Amino acid sequence: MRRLKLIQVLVILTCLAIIVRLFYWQFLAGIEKRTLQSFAEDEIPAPRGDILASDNFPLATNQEAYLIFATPKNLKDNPRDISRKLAPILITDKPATGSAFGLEGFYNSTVKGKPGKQNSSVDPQGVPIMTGKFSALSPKKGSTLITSIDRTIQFIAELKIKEAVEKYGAKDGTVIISDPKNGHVLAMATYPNYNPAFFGLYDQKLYKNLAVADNYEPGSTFKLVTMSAAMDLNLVTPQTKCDVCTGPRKVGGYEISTWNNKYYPDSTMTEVIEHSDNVGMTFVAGKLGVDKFVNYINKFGFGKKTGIDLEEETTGSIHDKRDWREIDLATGSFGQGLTVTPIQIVQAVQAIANGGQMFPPRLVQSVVDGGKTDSVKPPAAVQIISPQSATQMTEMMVNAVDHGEAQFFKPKGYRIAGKTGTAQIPVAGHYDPNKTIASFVGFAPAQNPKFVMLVRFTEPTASTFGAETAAPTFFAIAKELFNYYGISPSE
Amino acid sequence: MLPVSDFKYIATKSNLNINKPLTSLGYLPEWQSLGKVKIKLLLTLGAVLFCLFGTQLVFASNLSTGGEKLVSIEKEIQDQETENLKLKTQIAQSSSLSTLFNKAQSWGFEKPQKVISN
Repeated sequence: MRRLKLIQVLVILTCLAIIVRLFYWQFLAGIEKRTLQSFAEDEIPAPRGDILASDNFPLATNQEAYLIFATPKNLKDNPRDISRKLAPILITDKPATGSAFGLEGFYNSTVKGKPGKQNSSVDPQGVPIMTGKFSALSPKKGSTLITSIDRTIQFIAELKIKEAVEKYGAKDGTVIISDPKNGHVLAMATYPNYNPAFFGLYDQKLYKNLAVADNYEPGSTFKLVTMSAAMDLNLVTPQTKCDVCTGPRKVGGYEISTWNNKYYPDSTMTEVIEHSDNVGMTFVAGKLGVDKFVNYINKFGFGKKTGIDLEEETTGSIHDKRDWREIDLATGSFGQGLTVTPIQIVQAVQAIANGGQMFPPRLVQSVVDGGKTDSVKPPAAVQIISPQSATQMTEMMVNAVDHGEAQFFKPKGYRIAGKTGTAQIPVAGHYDPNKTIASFVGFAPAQNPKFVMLVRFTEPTASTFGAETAAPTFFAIAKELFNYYGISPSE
Repeated sequence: MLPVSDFKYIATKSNLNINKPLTSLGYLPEWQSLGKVKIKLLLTLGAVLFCLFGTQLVFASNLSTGGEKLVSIEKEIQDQETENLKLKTQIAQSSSLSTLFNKAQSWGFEKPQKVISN
């Protein structure tokens, strides 16, 4: 009996001893954990936000990516053979387009999201041990951008510009279509272009968005700015007659002539625009003077960024007014001797289409963050010219389309306001007569415009003139847009 | 089990010499009674501690395996999200206008030449 009790006591004491020792090892010993487990601090990457069209169709979204790795000692094949096979997939010296260019570049801080964190002890298999120091912070997905891009219009623009570049043998072509009532870009296309999903397969020169990053001399499309300025200041009216339009004109030691060497004495300002008369424009510029002309150039947004939400926008180049000579005033009046970007031309013509009010162009109309949608408020519109001047310019542009050199390509029954442009390209200090930038800018329907559009070709070879390349392309796209918007002929 | 006070009561009532061993009469001596109480107390304490220890072991074990469950659930979520992304991309590619345009052309559809208006 005594022995039994002794055994009982011993068992109890042993159990107590084990408990106390376990307690000591678990909570009091504070031994550094080495080989059996380790502490892991992992950053959990956040998924980037999507970019959607105006109808919420995805334009850019995330996709699965793979991490390829190998343990050298486990490789059975020749390492050279393996590296040769893997190199095309793994190695590229091209920079990623993701966060550097365009819309993603501009909104990178919005779409990139916030990475999460997980701190935990892990066992040798990497499984977290939740009794240790375990804490987790979930990653926050980036915001989603809803753009103003209309998928149908974008598709039409891409299809037509590709067809036209191939047809006219141009180096490249650009088309921008926007809504003049709010500045939202409905479509923007350039050809040749590249597939952003496989950017490494293309020449880096194609990464540049010509619509916002290419400086060029606009040529006759800039006459709209010169004439708008003079009419807004009441220096000329649509009926004012040009008294120097009898022949070539000498300005500052240079001779200014028309594009086709045809001259129309006593032509009105309306006819000057209709004939795209360079001599007539020097008459208008002479009325303006450098100060007023440069002021209006700046008012129309040239020489500075439009602020469109794309990363690589450039400003074009307008000389300081102190550097303008007499010849610069003359050539500037018809769009030579200064450089602009295509988006700046669209912005300026938007003002004419919108009763003189200019909205800066924009691509993103709202941002979705965690289920909440916030509209992107654009800057307020600025009155550049009076509504009366805008109306007068519109009628002059309609007249130019109806009776100018592009009249043969115009769709019947529609009032379209537009202007052709054929600008010679400066090469090594002089203008090359065989290389031009051919363009056409306009809006329709003229009385209540649904869209403003610019079509531009660099060095078309089939014809160097805007009236024979850019204008037909403009009208072909316009016909599609009339169909899409259900706009009936009005004439 | 009788409380300790009962032992004292019985001894007083029967005018027994409490110092005299009473094993023959069926009563236990005092020191043996007290030892039994101590053993029972110890046993109870041991059982409670054992239960606590066991509970702690069970919870710790569950938390340890919980890490594995967490990893497994997270992997399942990730797999579902990846599948969802793949399907979204497939839907977008299949319903893109260029895909539909090419399909329509291959099926012999033609674009209408006249403007359809309201």
